[in-house]
Amino acid sequence: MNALLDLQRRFQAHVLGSAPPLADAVDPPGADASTRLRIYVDAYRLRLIDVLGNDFPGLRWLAGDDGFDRLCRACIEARPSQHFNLRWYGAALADFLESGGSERPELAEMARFEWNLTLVFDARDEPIVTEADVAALAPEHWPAMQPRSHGAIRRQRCRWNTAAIRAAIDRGAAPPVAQRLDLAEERIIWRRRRDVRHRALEVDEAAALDAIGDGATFGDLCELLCGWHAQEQVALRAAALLRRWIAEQWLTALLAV
Amino acid sequence: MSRTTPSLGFGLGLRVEHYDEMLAGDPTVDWLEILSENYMVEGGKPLHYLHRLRERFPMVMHGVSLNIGSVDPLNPDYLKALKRLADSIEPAWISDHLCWTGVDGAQLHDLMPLVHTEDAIAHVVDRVRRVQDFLGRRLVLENVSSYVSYRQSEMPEWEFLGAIAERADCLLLLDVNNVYVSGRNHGFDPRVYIDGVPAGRVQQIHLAGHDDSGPVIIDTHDAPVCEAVWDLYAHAMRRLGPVSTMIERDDRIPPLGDLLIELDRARSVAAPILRAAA
Repeated sequence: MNALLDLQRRFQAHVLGSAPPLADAVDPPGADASTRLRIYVDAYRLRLIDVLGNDFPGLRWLAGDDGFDRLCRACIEARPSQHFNLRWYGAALADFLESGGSERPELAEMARFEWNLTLVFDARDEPIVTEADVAALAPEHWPAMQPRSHGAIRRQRCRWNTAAIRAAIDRGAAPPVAQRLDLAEERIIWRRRRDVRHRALEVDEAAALDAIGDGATFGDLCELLCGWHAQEQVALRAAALLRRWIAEQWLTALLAV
Repeated sequence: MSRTTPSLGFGLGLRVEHYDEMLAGDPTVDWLEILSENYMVEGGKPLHYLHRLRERFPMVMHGVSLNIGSVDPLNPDYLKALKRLADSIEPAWISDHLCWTGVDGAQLHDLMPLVHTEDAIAHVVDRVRRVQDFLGRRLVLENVSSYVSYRQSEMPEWEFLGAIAERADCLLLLDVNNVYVSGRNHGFDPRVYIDGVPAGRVQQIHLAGHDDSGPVIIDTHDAPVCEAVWDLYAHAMRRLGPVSTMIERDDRIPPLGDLLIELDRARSVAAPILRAAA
């Protein structure tokens, strides 16, 4: 066991870049061993970069092919893969950029946005509230009813035109130049049927969604919306938001309290 | 010892690019092999398509992260995810690779070669038994391509593979391309390798392409099966008899029709040999 452990540790240290080739342990000997070991050294990085390239097309576009390659390699050196499934390595790149991996803030924002898209893509399936569920709700139950949002939903505050760039890439169109937005926008990323979507939230809508995340009832929403709308308008606005969220498939239950 | 499952015929590795065509048409594919890790997710498109395709095709699961040869403890999270997926799709069998993929918690995401020693056999056999106990079924282990071998090795790879299969009572996935690639890289006769594995334990065969453009052949799985590998497959068929066979393409995925033509070639290679042996 000790010999096996020693061999695997030495091999891995070489692949990760922290040890010279284990030329004394492998055949063929000499320079040819280094060349052959290089295949494993390169494969480790290329495999991770390939997966990151698939998950982060917007980041790649922003950074350029060479820049993206450099970013990925810096991330791989700083944060070796720890999860058995390659699918999760993208989290390391988003974290790496947010913790100073690049001096360009739009890159970190894009990486987080694209990682959120990936998380939503294969998040847990949950039941979807339909108009029929709403119709079945007795009027006296509306004020105390608690809408519950779908677990796959992610939110992100964007200060750059990140979403527009990624949307253009997804359409196969030429992306716009990266630009800082005059006003930061709150975006929601979710799955409708099985397709990942994203859009900007209106200010009152974002606050209302936050509130239902905290267990607010429909009555609480009406009260909250008084911050933006006249008293006589809030019930209509709350009902409109609820219909919209149902159409977008953001709600997984209407809980009768 | 006989194989646990009779041949399923001729299959393909399921790839995202072919989901819709697989569902819409009536492809001449007898079964599908899925990459287990791709479906260790909670929902969305991957599981939606997986379950729809499972309704139409027999499936087997093929993993890359079991890390059966590592000195690290077996990963309970991985094993639970593997079992959960197996309970969900009821595959005909579950395979992974005879290799190690990381140590001390790191993940190299590559199929690293094992040293062929008695110690390594004892180590792997113990782990295979524990995995089989956990899964409640025999594991199928695949030979990997390699570019270096270890001076400490005490036996050729086919003896190492066979000893593990016999002592752990597991089954084998013979990747004919990998045998060819390693044979060229290490200078052994791939026919001797195929003649050396315990025939009754070979549950499945992989056929694939590789990159033969440099001093070392690289197992890329991104090209059609080459003539030498077809010849080797015929040799394997003569020795093994009917074994579930599939084309495994992992990169530069061609249209489904191209793979179906390749799969037909596998049928046409195997058919006369199996007829003659019947």
